[in-house]
Amino acid sequence: MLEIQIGPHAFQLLGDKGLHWLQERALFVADTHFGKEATFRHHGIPVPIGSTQGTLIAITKMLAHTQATRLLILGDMFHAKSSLSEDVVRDLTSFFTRHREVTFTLIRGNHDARLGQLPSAWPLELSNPVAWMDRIALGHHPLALPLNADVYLCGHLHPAIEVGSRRDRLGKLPCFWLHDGCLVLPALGMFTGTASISPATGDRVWTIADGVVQCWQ
Amino acid sequence: MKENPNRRTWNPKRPPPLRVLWITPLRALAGDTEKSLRMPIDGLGLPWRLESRTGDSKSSLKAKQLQSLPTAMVTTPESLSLMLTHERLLQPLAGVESVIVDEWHELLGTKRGVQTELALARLRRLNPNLRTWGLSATLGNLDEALESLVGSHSAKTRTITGVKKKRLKIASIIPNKIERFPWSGHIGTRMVPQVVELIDQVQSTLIFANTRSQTEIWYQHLLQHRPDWAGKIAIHHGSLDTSVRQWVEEGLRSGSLRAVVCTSSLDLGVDFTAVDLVIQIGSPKGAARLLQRAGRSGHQPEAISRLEFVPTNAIELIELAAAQQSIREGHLEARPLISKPLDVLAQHVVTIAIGGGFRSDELLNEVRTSRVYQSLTSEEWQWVLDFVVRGGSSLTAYPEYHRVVVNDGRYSVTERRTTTAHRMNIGTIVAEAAMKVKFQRGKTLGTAEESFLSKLKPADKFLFAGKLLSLVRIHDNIAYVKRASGKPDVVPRWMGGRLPLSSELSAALRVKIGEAADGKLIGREMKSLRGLFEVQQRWSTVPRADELLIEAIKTRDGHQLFFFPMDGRLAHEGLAAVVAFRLSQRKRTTFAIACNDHGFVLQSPHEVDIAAAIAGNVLSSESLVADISLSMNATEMAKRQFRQIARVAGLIQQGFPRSRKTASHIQASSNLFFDVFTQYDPSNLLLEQARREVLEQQLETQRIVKALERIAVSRIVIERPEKVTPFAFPLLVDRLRERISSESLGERIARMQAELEIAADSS
Repeated sequence: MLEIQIGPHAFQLLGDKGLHWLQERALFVADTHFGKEATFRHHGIPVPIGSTQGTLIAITKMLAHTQATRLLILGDMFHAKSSLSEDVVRDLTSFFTRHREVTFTLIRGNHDARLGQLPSAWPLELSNPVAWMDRIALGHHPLALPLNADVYLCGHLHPAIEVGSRRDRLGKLPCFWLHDGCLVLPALGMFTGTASISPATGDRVWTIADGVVQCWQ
Repeated sequence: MKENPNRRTWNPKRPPPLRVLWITPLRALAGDTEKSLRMPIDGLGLPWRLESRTGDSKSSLKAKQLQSLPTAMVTTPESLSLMLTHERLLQPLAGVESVIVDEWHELLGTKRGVQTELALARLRRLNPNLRTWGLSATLGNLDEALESLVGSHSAKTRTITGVKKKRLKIASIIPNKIERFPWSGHIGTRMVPQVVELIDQVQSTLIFANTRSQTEIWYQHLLQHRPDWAGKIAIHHGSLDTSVRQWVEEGLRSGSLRAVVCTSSLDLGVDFTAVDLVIQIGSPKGAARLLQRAGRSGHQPEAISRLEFVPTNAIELIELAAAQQSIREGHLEARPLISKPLDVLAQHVVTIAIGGGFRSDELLNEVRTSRVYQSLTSEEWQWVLDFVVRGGSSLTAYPEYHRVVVNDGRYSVTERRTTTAHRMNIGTIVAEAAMKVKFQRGKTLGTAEESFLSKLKPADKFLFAGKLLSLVRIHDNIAYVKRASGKPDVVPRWMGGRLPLSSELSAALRVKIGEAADGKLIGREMKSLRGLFEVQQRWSTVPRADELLIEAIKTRDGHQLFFFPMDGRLAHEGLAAVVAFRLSQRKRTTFAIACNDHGFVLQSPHEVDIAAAIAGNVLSSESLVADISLSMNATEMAKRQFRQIARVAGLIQQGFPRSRKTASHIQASSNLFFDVFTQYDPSNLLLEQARREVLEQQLETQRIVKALERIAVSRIVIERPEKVTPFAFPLLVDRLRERISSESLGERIARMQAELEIAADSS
């Protein structure tokens, strides 16, 4: 965990790829892509079960650790319509039941657009971007910092930094990326890829390796 | 003809149904093959319909063929597998009397070869009297090639040897002044004048280089030397656009081109009028390969095959001498086979499930008639069935997944979507992440690796397709370029394709060096190296075949340990890693490693007592596999290997039913698949296969084991020369190559070389 300050706000960057806003006890995550493996199976591509549960376990851990009372998902909560398979719905229902004290909000992302009706029993509030909490703006796609916002939180990019020299590639590390007041969160889903970013000078980047957050630049 | 002796009853309007299948490894060859086959058919006036069916065929023709197949058909392994997905073609395929597999040596030992074996097993099942013909170049393991072709249950086989002992003339261009200190790299271009002279003496020449970047460099040098050859010489390699390649092939055929600089891309392809001369630049890596390339000249019977060898360093001259001896004695390379890859089998099982379905025991028996799967266990078979039916083994059943369904013991595919996706993804060839290279307005030049192009900045100049280009911009996975002048900043480097020296040629090389140790220098090549051997002997040792030479030298950069097992680059990579790992276990230190076909070097900041380490079993073959896994990033390597497996087993779909926007929802990288499987289904046999393929193919573990066994009975000679010896020099340069930029490399090498020459002359 690493504490950072953006404008007047203090945040914690968590090793499980979430962002904790201390003042409001709110936990932000992005791109969970629940049920992505079910979508693959639906299309005849064999992918084992487990990644949706793995993602939920990561969130549970962060909720327990931060004692947050709100969870906000910054888009792409589900992968596709076919992601809402029986086992995925069951896993999520039991997740919601176990966290009755938490309020859940989904800021819609591009993958959530075609979902159709979600189970009505889920205590999930849906919101279109851009949403606001105090002077913090929330969305899915990266944008220029909206007027009157101190910071804009989003996802979508699945940002990662390539580590290593040209010869010894050590691989990619998922990261938080702050660019002109727009803070991009790493993708949380266990079965999601990453995309390399090239940060500009003046940007700030924090990488995550083995659950440890480190300042990159 | 025996059945229908009366020619008057032959009716070209009613050709007989499918009788003959001709399988060619390259679809580009299908056209040529069709042309050659048409000659005898027309000559005899046979009323046959002859057609090709490959990935390049028009869809209208393919649709027509689904209604009625021609009498004789030229096709590729992929298209044949595709035909097996059409149930209605099974009956006509059962009528095939002969199947001819062309260039079998090219398919043998590859996953495409395995795919072919499975298809042949299917054809034999459909017609037990099928006659199989295979055409193959000379191989060290013709018996295995034969068995792979006809299956393990075939009763009658016969081998026919073609025109024997075509006259062969192999010579080397020996530089006037032999560099005592050979170094690898673009040194060979110093021989451009001699090569130009040779090309000038004949009508047509093929120049083989080992890498695509070498072809680009040589093409430029030849043109600089003879600007009047513009338009008369050309370049040919696998990254060029099909239209460019076809133009070159046509030019060779019509005789309008004097010379073509090429890679193994022109190893295949039958119907070029033979060229007058073949030039091989750099190590041929194997005797069979050298022989085959030489055979591209003087193709007609009675003609002499002529090959000139251009060494890029002095040790390659020993390699050539060794290769010549191997050819004379008929010791040609065996093509190592691969053992029962489950990814290819899974793909085949889905193919058959679509093409009419199957019962488990029937298909198992059929599959076991192929040589590659004859030892397939019931457990492995069950796993493959589970994989296509449930996704994983029964314990980790994947919900809502069904590629293949079972009904009353019959396996079949019911979903149209599965069928379409499978047909689009049949095959085992993995497309590299490549980007098109294209003029801003106008034609496509070819493709280069994305990893190379994405590192370029606009206005960077690079050589490609024989032209100096500068990058304008990259947009939508296309690199737009324009012509440039001046000097290139970079030459594209294509990954892979760097073959190691074959184990047969390595053995022959050790013998040749051993002869030199005894003062026997046989042949022009060996005699020209007298000076080099003298210096090597004076400063260190020329090792005999039953000796392993190790040189410990202290240079400005640190302590260097040179090992010369002479066993090919891949095996050396594994050996170097294991030895470095074991040495570092004895004493904390760090090693930098470099390898080539002849040896490897370990550099460390601390001195290593190598004699004591060897006594402590640093070179033992015990717990080798475990030490390989510990010393190399085996997981990373397995991940890379998993790319092909994921593609063949149908995890990654290369093509998707077109105009479906949702396709991007089911794309994931093979790395991601690897991670998810490792985490949530670690017993998945495809992971096991990836690890096995790394050991067998990427590291040639069998060769490492054999090398260590040989070393165990060898005398270890440890020398401590004061200076870097002729044997060690290329390795030192290779190491430098990894560290410093290519611009100053040339200067630095020249300086080192000059210093060493002075030392050799004065000592």
